[in-house]
Amino acid sequence: MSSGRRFWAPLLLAVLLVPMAAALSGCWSRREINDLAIVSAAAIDWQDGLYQVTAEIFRPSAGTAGGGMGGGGGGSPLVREAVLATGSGPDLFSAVRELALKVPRRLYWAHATTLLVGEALARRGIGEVLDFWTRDPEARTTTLLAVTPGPAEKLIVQAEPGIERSVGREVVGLWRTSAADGHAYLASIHEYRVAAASPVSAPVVGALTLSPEMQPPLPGRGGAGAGGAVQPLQIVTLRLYGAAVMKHDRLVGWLTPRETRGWRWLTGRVSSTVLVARCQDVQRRLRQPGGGQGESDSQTAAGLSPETTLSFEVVRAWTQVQAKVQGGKPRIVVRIHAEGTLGAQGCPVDFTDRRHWDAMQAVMADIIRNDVQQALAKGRALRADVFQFGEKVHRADPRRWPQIQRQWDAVFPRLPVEVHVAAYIRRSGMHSWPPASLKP
Amino acid sequence: MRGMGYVLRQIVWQIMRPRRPGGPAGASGQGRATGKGGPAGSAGIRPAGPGTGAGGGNASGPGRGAGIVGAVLPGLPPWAFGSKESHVIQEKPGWLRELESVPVSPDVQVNFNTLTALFGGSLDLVRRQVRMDNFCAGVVMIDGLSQKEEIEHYIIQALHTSRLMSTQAGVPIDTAVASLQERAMDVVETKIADNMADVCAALLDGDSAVFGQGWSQCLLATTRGFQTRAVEEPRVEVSARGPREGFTENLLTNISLVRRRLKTPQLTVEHLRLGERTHTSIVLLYIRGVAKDEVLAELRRRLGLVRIDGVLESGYLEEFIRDRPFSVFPQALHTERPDRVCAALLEGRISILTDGTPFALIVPGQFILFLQAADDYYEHWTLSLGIRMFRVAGFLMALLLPALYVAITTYHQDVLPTPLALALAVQREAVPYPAAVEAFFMQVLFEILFEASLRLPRQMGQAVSIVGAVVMGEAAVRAGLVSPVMVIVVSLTAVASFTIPAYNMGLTVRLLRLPMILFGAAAGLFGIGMFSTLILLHMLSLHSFGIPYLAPMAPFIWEEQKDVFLRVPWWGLRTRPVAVGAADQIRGRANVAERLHGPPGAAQTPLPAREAETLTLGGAQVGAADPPRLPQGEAGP
Repeated sequence: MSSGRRFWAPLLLAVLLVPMAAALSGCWSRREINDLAIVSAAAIDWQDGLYQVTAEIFRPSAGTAGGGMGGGGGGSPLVREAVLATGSGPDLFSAVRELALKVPRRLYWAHATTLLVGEALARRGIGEVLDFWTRDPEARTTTLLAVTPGPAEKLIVQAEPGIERSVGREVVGLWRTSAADGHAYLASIHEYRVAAASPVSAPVVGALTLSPEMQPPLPGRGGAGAGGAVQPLQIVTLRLYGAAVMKHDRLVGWLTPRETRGWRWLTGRVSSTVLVARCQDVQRRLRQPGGGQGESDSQTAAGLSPETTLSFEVVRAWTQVQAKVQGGKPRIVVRIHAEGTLGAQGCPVDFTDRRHWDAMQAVMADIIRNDVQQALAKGRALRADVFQFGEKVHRADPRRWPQIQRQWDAVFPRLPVEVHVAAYIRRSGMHSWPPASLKP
Repeated sequence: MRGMGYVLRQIVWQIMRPRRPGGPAGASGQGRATGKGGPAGSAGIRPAGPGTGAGGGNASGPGRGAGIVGAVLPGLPPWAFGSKESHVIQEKPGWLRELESVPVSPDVQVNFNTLTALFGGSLDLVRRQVRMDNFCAGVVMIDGLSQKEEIEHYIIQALHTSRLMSTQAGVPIDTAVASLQERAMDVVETKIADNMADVCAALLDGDSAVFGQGWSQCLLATTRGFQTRAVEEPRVEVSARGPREGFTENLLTNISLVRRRLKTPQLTVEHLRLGERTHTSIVLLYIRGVAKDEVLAELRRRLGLVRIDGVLESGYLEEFIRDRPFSVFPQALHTERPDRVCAALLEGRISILTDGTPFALIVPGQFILFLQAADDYYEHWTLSLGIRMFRVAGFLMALLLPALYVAITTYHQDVLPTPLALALAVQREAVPYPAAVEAFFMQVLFEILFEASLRLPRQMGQAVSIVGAVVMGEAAVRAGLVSPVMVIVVSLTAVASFTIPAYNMGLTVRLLRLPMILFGAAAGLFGIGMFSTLILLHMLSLHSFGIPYLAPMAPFIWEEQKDVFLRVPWWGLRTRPVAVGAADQIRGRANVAERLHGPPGAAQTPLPAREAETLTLGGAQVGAADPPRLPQGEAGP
């Protein structure tokens, strides 16, 4: 009897409690995945004194499931599998809520990969945007942040993603490829916030534009030309172009691709890029003292046009930035180390000759130095410490930093920067001799 | 009217009420005393054999009701073993007890009549009178249970021959029981019984009874022999490498399968009978000096408490002897592989064989035991690491996968990679039900299919599985009832659950899966965490014969990790599992001396000679089951 009760009590408890725990919670905040409007990208503009938010929402269609559903085999090419919805309001939150009224499903921001900010809003300041994005529990700080010349809405409306199914996915792809070439930059909101943590530094964000691309004729697109011939099709796709400089959350200027690469060299962000050298420069280096003399002069005559180039692929690079404060005067020493392989060659250079090799390395370093100088000049002109030199100085001399910080805007443009570049060519690629026509 | 608070308090009080302290009561104390008292203390399970016979000690007095071992196991919490009610010894069935007072009559015909009446004139009770000059013998057997040829040749013919020989010698035949037993019985094993209880039990075992005119005793000859299945490959527990023999329904065959692998006299076979009507032979197998005495004593005690009409399968016993009867987790391993039993015995465990079933029980059964397979020990040890890891992963998948799917797709869409989230959204686009309902539907469908294919004959089972898995799955997806991912999840879960080697553990996982889905649907990952914690807490509270269920993991025993998630090479497995608490921790050292002379410090008593031994199943109402410390006779025949 007593043992019976002991057995039954826990069982009864389990039988009662398990469904109770499940039922009483009432599937609290449950949302089926197919009841969500998954936001892929958002464009935020400042228009007529209102925030305007345009969201790109994935449109679930049979094509996106891959080959699995009914053997459809993907959607039709160059069709964006997303819909757009726009809302506006005096602040972002109200704009987003207005947007929600136009979407039959619950907006879901966790998968939004891209946040585009129009130029007007960027110049006004993106502080509120960041606040909204980081305050919302769904949105993530891994979202990529980019500024667009002109309104961002134009970009999200007009862009025709070629490979990916949405602008959001397209930008993620561009972000990946941006690492392969140093001429552009794209970073997440998190990275922006880290860079903006120091009051004197000016974060750099990505810049996105549209670029027309020719496509082969597509069935149903492009329109028939004269005589029924299908014309090639021109579409507009997204491209990364340089970067934008923000200061105190406001857009202050743009970096060209070359300046962007210089900025990347200075901040240690180059992992891979292509350096293009003119053959003339290599010849000049060879003629310099320490280079080859006489012999090379005779070779120069070998019908070399001034445009022929030689390019190196940087495969490994690192940067060391040191701040030194002497007598209250800060100065910066930058050491850049780059290693590369020969990528393409149009010059009669003998790779087996050590002097030629050294000359090429010297030219490589010259190019890097040139990049850095351009970036430095732009930074100084914008009075924007995009290189985080202020942070370095802060760390080098924390006691004197409060003083320096107050005059940083005046100090920075005149800050002496010493740049040491060491460039090495490690390999010549698959063959060490150029084609016979190019042989020296 | 009382308030709700009162009711709640009552409920909580009922649940949380401290359990009855398990101190040794009077009865148990007595039990311990008799346990140590040697063979004479027949209040417990008495040794078989004519020496002690159906002695009065068993039938009368307060002895019945006293346990074999009443003590709480030292070092174990008192709540480790169920209730501490008075330990009742194993009783004979009522009808046998009644028959004990019926003596064997000196008149053969009276005995025949008694038996005929007892069996209700059953067709298969064969009676035969053998007339030898002025002596009349009567042979009784049950047709189908005994080997008739043996009775013809070695009993009836032998009786005739001995008469013939004495006639030729001119000496009148000596018809005394003992004399005939020695001279005229050509059967290996014979016994003398003096009451109808023993005769009846022997007949039902397939032995034959020989009555003699003028005897007040009966000769029992072991002539059992009946149709049994041959030793075949195990059906359920297949292994890629290892012995192909599996247990059969015949208890003696099963014992021989074990003994053939464990050629040591320390392998002890304790016999007892359970079941008021079935009177089923149960055998405890253990290696003396290796198995822990306390566990053994506790097992005997629990078996002694069993009151049941019939034992048709070892599962009947499992439910009686498990520590926590209401737990869904199996607490005794069952196996149909003799090699598995031997391995368990070598680890210090105890096996229980039941007549009539090929499934042996192994106790104590810890959780990890259910995730280990025989192959782990036969294949190279490096392979066991990966395989066991996969098995643990399979266990977790079988338990959690559908719940995780439901939780993630309804609460945590943010943890999915974007393309996967989109793919799932698209697949679920046409599905009208919430993911939880879908998961439940598919899970129930799978369970039904599984059950159907299990019960059907083999050829039809194939068809059902094809129809079920392929046709219905595909059709359900096409009809938009379920999403393709759900089908994948459910089939993955099903496949994963088959990685669990123990069938009953697989059942447990199947049982826990549905509430897990419920929790996942109700509160997402938080709910899954909640229910998992509940399960884990429950498992932590479990014990199997006093050994913590999660033994080498919780409590964590470092030395024992050698055979949990990986198995170290055999030359590294030098000690037996600590948690099992084997008396002899070192493998590969058989202390025969201890067995012969008792443990150091025990009194050196001469070995008592006993003829009928534990192994002979016939005749004994209950087998010899002395406490193992006592010196015993030869264990082998």
